Amino acid sequence: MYVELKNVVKTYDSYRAADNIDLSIEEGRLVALLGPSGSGKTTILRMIAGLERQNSGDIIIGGRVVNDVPGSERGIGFVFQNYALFRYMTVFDNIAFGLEIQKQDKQVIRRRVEELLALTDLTGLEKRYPNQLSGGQRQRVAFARAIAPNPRLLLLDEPFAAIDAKVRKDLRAWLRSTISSLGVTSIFVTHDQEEAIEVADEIVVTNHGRIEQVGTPMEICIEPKTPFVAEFIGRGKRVSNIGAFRGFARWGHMAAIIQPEFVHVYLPGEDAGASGDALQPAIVQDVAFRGANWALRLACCGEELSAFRSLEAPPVHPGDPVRLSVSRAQGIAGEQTEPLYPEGT
Amino acid sequence: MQQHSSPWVRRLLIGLTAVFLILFLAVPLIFVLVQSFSRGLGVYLSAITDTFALQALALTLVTVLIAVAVNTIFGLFAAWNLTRYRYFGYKIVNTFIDLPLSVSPVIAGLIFLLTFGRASPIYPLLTAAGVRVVYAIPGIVLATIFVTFPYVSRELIPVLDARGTDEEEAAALMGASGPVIFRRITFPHIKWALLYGVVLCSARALGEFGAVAVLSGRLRGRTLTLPLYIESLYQEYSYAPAFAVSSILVVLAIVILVARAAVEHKGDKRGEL
Ligand SMILES: Nc1ncnc2c1ncn2[C@@H]1O[C@H](COP(=O)(O)OP(=O)(O)OP(=O)(O)O)[C@@H](O)[C@H]1O
Ligand SMILES: [Mg+2]
Repeated sequence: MYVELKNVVKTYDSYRAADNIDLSIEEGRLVALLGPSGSGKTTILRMIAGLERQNSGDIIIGGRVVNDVPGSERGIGFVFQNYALFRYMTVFDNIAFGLEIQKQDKQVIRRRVEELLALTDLTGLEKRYPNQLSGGQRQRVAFARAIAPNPRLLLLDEPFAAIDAKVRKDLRAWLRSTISSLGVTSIFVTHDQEEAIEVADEIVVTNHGRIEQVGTPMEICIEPKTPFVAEFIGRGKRVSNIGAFRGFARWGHMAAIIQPEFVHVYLPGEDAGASGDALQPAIVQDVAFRGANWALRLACCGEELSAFRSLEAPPVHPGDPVRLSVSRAQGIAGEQTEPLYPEGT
Repeated sequence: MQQHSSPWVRRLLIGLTAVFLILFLAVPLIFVLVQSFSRGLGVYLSAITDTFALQALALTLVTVLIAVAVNTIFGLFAAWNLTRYRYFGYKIVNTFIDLPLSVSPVIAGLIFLLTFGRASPIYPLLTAAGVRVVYAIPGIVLATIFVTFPYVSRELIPVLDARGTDEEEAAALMGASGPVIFRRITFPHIKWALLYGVVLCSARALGEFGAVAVLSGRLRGRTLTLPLYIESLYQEYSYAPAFAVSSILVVLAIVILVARAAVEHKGDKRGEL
């Protein structure tokens, strides 16, 4: 384990921003801290960086307890949410800053900065000041500045938050491949689940200062361990009575979350294939175009469901009667969840 | 910024402002100059080259220099700790810094008189150490420092507040020491505000009368600053010399005004004021 948090607590006044955090991160991994706003992601990151001191518990980096080690001696690179580029320094000086502080040789610094400019595709911009750069360029300068001193741990706070959607997609892919080619252990904060799923090897889901679940993107999506994760990940709807859906009768009045991927919708007369018997009636409430498909909101057995519909299938309209089947749900029992599959059809 | 108001309203407002400025600022200033030359160039020159006048000028400049230097350093520290640390009672400190702005300078003078004068318990100690504060130059300097101390910090605090701490944190994480962070990250950002504060502080120190009047003891040639010297001339009905010496202060004020305009212009262009 390269980074470990043991029973870490951080309170602001009486508010527990980090509540008994236990976390281990393997060397070389790219980990996402994912959670809603205010759930403590930044707090965790800042404690690892030594910018914030925990009230209790231990932080261990590279086998060393670093509770009393200043951030500058923890071997970290940090990319701030708004980049925090030094606005009175050129791109070159920004990237060189950490190396200059280490009193490295001028020639060595120049070579390293040039290498990083090439890596981050910023060559030619080294004389610019941060306010003369686009958002994406700033982000890359911040990244280059953070990795210039060869940190063993890279921390990124919402690295894509200030960037528009299109550039964001490209940068994500770029960041992912760059980090994996560097092989540096990295933790990045995001509240965008899609981002976490696409970029990370491992996702840590936070909520109210606690960790809800740690797992690969696949595990988090397919086997959410807590009701919060089941609801937070994906676009699922919570139903209070799963027993009302065909094939789920044996679970009675259990609450569950049903993801749109597992709701199949057919117009009257449309061929439902093998699931023909399991269909039950529903009414279309709302239809929204989402680029790659239609997103439907449906009323069925007094519950509300969401579903996707292919652009190739005949269109449906609000008010249309349809039939649907549910192929999977995530049942909620107290603080636990379990996957439920329909039976008997 | 162009506003959409009727041209008449605009003309009226500009006109009123101009009339006000002329009546209350330009006319009196011209009057000072006219009065100072009323007895001829000879009287003017002898008034401003009088030994006492020159000594008053020297004392004033020294006082301004010390007060501004002390308050620049103090202002930097105060602004830094009020924007960078949150400790118990920081709000009280924040309010306290403004005290000199709300207390009449005469009262400020009296405070020092009580603290360092004959009535004070530390007076015997000071006398034993051979230090004279009251009715001496240290008193004048102290009073001036007191009266002018909010000016620098008040200019810096909003700038430091608006800027946030993340650049400093970033530099600290890379191992930069406090002085390096200040020199390379913080100072470039606050330098125009700092200069502006220094200019304001100098202007205020130069003209200080009330607090200094209480503590000076008015020994001509020794503890009279320019404003006090002018007043004493006036009290002796030497009107022309009083106005002549005043014109020195006016010239110094104009120099500061020009410096201030230059700083504002520079800072403005870079959007830092
Ligand atoms: N300096 C502070 N003083 C008081 N409360 C704070 C402070 N910093 C954070 N908090 C509180 O701690 C909680 C966690 O904050 P944190 O910044 O870690 O959230 P986050 O998960 O990063 O949220 P976001 O996605 O909005 O950035 C929040 O409720 C916040 O209000
Ligand atoms: Mg945050």
